[in-house]
Amino acid sequence: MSQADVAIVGAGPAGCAAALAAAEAGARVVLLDEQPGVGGQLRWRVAPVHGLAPELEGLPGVRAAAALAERLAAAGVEVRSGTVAWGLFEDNVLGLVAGEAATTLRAAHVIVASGSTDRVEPFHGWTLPGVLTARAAQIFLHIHRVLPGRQIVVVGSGAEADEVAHDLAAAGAEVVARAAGTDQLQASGDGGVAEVQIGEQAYAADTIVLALGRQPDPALALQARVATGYDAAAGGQVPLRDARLATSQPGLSVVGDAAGLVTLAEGWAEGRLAGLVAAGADDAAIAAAQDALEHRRSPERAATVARLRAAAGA
Amino acid sequence: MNETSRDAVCICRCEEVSAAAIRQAIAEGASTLDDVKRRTRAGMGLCQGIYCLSTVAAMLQEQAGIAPEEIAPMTARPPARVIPLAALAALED
Ligand SMILES: Cc1cc2nc3c(=O)[nH]c(=O)nc-3n(C[C@H](O)[C@H](O)[C@H](O)COP(=O)(O)OP(=O)(O)OC[C@H]3O[C@@H](n4cnc5c(N)ncnc54)[C@H](O)[C@@H]3O)c2cc1C
Ligand code: FES
Repeated sequence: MSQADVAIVGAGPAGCAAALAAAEAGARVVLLDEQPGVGGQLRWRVAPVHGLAPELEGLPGVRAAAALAERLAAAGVEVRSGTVAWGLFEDNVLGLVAGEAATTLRAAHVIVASGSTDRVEPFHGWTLPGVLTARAAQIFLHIHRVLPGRQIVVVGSGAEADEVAHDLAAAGAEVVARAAGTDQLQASGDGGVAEVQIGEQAYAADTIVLALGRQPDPALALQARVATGYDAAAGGQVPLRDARLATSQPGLSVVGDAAGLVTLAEGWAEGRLAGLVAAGADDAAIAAAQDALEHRRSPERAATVARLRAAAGA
Repeated sequence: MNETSRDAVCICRCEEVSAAAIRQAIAEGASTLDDVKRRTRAGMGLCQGIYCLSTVAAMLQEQAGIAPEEIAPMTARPPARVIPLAALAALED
């Protein structure tokens, strides 16, 4: 079993910020991610990033991810890519698998920064090959550099739906239709999507991309039985946290999308705060990080956080 | 979509559980995600419910009138991902 002061699960923006802050405060930090590189969602997005470190401002996601890898190395963070954290056990012991190699890691403080999964809604034909989420489509485009299909229906109405529709078209696919949701949606075909119906209208299409938003994935924190509360924006229960982002379990905090849906800037600020706290930074540094985080939150989000924090204290 | 075709929609693709099966479980008294899982296997599959649990939660709200804030997360157990058996042995050391 290896040891660390701070172990962070998930190397998205929130996890990277936590790792950099904890290392800056003098802790021995291990940053784990099941992906082959750091950056989380940044790795397969080309939209510009905002609100991370100043030197990353405006970079396409993929470039920001590469810059983060360099910063982590310079800060002395031990990055273990391609490593799945599959279990969180008593005394903050993490069960890890990297390829065939199984190991364990004990840390004085564990920060869960495991992000989100894409939301899916079932409809007629949704299990046919050719139906995928926005995230999967972005991975096709920007990691594997292949089109997920030729004639594509994009479902969803948020900014992420616009982004994936734009990226698909820019890569040479034809976005034959957009649907706001799955209510009126049906797909049919023999062994794969061939026709998509939106209400009365039928389209020839080989692919459906679902961009219905994301949902927190705090699985490891839930294994540790942290107290949870309802967050309507996140669509379900999320870990409760105090003003320092600590959960009901000693030495365990949750940051970023894993604890409720955040913008890049808010997730980054959460990561920094949790990293400083875990490394035992001084009160002034922690207060400054708390202040910075508050400035990153929208009024609605601040109200949600305040309500959940009150529940954590109760 | 009419009721019959709605009932045929697969909700949990990992365990191939239809909307009708989940509706029946709720009609028979299932009132939590864990209840529905025990009765139908929905949420027990490879993806650990990532694809289906939000839909099951929506069905519990709609059909059984359970408030969204009353729906507890499904009990989470390791492993969070599919892992080789050797990983369990490493825990013993
Ligand atoms: C360019 C861009 C613009 C955006 N704009 C907005 C916006 O305007 N508004 C908004 O609300 N959101 C926006 N987002 C959403 C954004 O995705 C999230 O805010 C952000 O990615 C959350 O970061 P995170 O670090 O919490 O999670 P993620 O980036 O999802 O990273 C989580 C990481 O954890 C890893 N992981 C998970 N579980 C495990 C495990 N068990 N073991 C090992 N590793 C694990 C994953 O592999 C992943 O790398 C934007 C994202 C991008 C990339
Ligand atoms: S879809 Fe239900 S467990 Fe995967």
